[in-house]
Parts: sequence; C-alpha cells; structure tokens
Amino acid sequence: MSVRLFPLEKRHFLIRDLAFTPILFSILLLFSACSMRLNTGFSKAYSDKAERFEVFGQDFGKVLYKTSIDVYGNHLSGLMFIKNLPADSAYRVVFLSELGMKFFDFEFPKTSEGSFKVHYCMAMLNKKMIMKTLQKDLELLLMTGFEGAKQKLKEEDSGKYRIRKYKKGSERRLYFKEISSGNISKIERNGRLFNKVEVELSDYQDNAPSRIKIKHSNMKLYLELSKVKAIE
Amino acid sequence: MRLKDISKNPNLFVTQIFHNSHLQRVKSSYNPAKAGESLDLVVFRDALKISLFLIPILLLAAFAPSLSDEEFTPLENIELFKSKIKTMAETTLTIESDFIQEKHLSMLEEVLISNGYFCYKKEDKVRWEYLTPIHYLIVLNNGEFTIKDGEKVSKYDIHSNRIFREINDMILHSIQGSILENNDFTISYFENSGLYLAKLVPNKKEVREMLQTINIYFDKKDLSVSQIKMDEASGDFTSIKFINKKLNEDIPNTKFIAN
Repeated sequence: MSVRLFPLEKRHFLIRDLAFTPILFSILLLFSACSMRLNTGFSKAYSDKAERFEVFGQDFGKVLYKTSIDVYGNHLSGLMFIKNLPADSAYRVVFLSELGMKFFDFEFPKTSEGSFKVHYCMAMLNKKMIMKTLQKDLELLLMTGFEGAKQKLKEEDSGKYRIRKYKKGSERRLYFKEISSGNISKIERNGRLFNKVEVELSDYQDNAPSRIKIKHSNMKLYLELSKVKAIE
Repeated sequence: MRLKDISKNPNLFVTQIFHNSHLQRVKSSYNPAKAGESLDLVVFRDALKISLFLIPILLLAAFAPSLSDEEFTPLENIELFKSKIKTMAETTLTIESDFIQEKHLSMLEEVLISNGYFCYKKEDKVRWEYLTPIHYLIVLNNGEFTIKDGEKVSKYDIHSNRIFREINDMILHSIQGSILENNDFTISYFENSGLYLAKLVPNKKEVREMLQTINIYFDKKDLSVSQIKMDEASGDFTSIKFINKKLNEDIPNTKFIAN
C-alpha cells in the first residue's frame, strides 16, 4: 500500500509557499532591521570609561545557583557554583546534579594572558557544540573571553540605561546598565544570522544577581539560575 | 554535531545534552516502547543507575556510629559478612533517617553541604528528599518513580519503562541482600575494630570516569551503613552521613507521595 505524505491539495500549498519564500524572507529582514533600530535607541554617547560596568562586582567572592535547563521540551537541573579566584585572575564554574555528581568544572581567565580551561567535563557532555554554547553563555555572564573587542559607550535617549557595545569579528555583545540601580539588567549577544542570546538579570545582592535567565533565539534552549545563598 | 544537524533533528541536541542528565530527565512525549532501542537511553540508564546506587545501599542503613579513622585490613570471611547483611536486610521493614551530604571540591577548597530526609518501607517504597539548600524530592512507590524539582513533578511508570524497571529491580535485590553480588562492580572488603568497608570499583571505563570508587562503611554492631563516600578521579568526593535513624517503626503510606 502506498502512503502519500501530503494530500494533493496540500502539495500545491507547499509549492506556492516555496514561491513566496524570497518575499517572506525580505519582509522578515525588513522587520528585523526595524526591530534592531528600535532596540538601539542609544544616540547619546558618554565617555566615562572608568565607570564600573560588571555583572559580578569587584568584591564578589562566590555564589551558588539552583540551575535549570530547558532544552527542546526537556528539563534538567542541578547546582551551579561560581567562584572568583583573584590570585589566578580567573573565575571557576562548577555544575553539579542535586545528588552531587559533577557535570563540568570550567575555568575562565579574566585577561587575555590566560586561557579557558576544562578541569572536568563528563564524557557524555563533552561535545563540541554543547561545550561551546555553555562556554559562550558563561563568558557573557562573567564578561570574559572578549579581550581586544572594540568598545562603544552609549546612553539611552530616555536616560534609563547606559550601554556598552563590544564588537569582535561577527560577534557583538551589548550590556545594559540601569542608571537608577547601577546594575546590569540585560545582556544581548548577536552572532551570525538569527544567532541571538538574551540574558535578564535581577535582584542584585552581595555583588551578584540573584536571578538570571538566558534565552537562545536559534535553539530551544533556556537556562534559569536562582541564587541559593551566599556561601561563607 | 553541527547547527544544521540540530535544525533537522532537534532531538540530536537533546540526546547529546541528556547524556549527562542522570536524574533530571522529564520528557512529556517520552515513548517507553523505544527505550530499549536507543543507545542514548542505555547510557542514560547507566548514569541513572550510578546515581541511584546510593538508594539501594541506604536500604541497609540503620543505627550507626561516626566513621572511624582507624586503619582497615582485608576482611577474611567475606561470605559470613554477606550472609549477615542479607539476614539484616530481610528483617528490616522500615528505615527512617536524616542525612548530611557533603560535596568536597578539592582544588577549590570548598565543601557544599546539603541536608535531607530519607525513609524506606518494605517492599517498594522510598523517599529521598533534599531539604536544604534547595528542595528536591525522589519518591519510589508501587512501581511509580516520581521526581519533584521545585514545583515541577515528573512521573515514570516502571512497568512500561525498562530503565526505571531496572532501577526498581536493583532496589529489590538490595532488600534481598544481593546488592553486593552486582556484576557492574569489582568489590573488595576490609574491616577495622568498629567497621566493615566495601570498596566498589566500577567495571566499565566510562563509569570510572565519573566515579572511581564507592566506599560503603557498615557498623559492625548492627551491620547498618554509617557513611557512603564516592571518589572522583579529580580528587573531589561526595560523602553521605546518616543521623537520627529509626528502624522498624511505622511509617504512614502518605510519606511516599510526592508533595
């Protein structure tokens, strides 16, 4: 018995849709261009380069986050431990399951002299795509791995945010700092076409945000971190 | 794995990332009929078995002293020890205990401490609950496996899910005292004046990359488990100590509902 994937009339729809693809694509590009313009309503420049502009403050020591990852309708969770290592000029990030099993242990250098180190990564997690995604997301938070990037300082027209734009190759990072609170409340990373990551940060306590949400536009990947406690 | 592969088959990314998620897998559209066919799920099962290894072990736990630092020597009469464990397990109807879990991150000189509650009721009821610093609950009850993570509750039926059926079987084997016969580990036995020590080394290389050894300390007085220590290759380790234990006291069935 032969099985037809689509009824005949449906196949016509498919052909017609294909014909419209270039038009749809152009419209999409137009809208994305508009949205980018709306998103970057920062025409006022400022020059205070010495201003503190960081997610984890200078006095930040260590923090433990309950962390959940939703990926393509699936859910996994554990504890993420972040520690500042001033002597090594680096951050260390360890992700564990609730039962204590370690998923990964990464080291992120604060300067270009150091290099990203994988102290441990569970063999089954040690895939290039996953590792790179996790590394990039965490670098975005820790504000590392972007040495030598071109920097622009802007202020929002309404005076609500100050923004720092970093550009390196095809990658751009935008950090939005609320002028009223002095905290970074939003981060965006734009890569190649449609590759966009948005981070929301809130409830800053003890030099670190208590809540962090990381959303990817090109894959159904969503990370949520909520601070468990400041560790003594 | 490239991006275009993921766009064609999103599950590629899911299965890759879920290789490491040994307990937290919640898949609403999960098809148990295919579980036996998937290599990913076999790996997932192995990781899950390792993680849950401590649960069957805990079924042997009762009153225990603190761990002694006294030196251990090889145990001579292993069969006698095993038969004692079996008898003890057969006469244990319920166990209730608080536990302290310590994760030692050696290079960072940090210890992450979790506290929780554990109870067991013969034949097939287990509650393993983290209370601090976060709430996380695992319940086994009458063929149903439940995980409660915050407000998110996930249930698995072990009768239609091969992976969870295997875990259930492991638990039953432990009640029958046959956990120390497990072929997944090479086990050596030691003793000192107050404790027996069973040292389990995983036979599979990929498992050894996660856990080098599992050390189980039994109190000689009543053959209860006083502590479990799981060593990783990096020098990090997890230890679980049991306190406030009660043996063979009535536990209501409502304790085995995830709430």
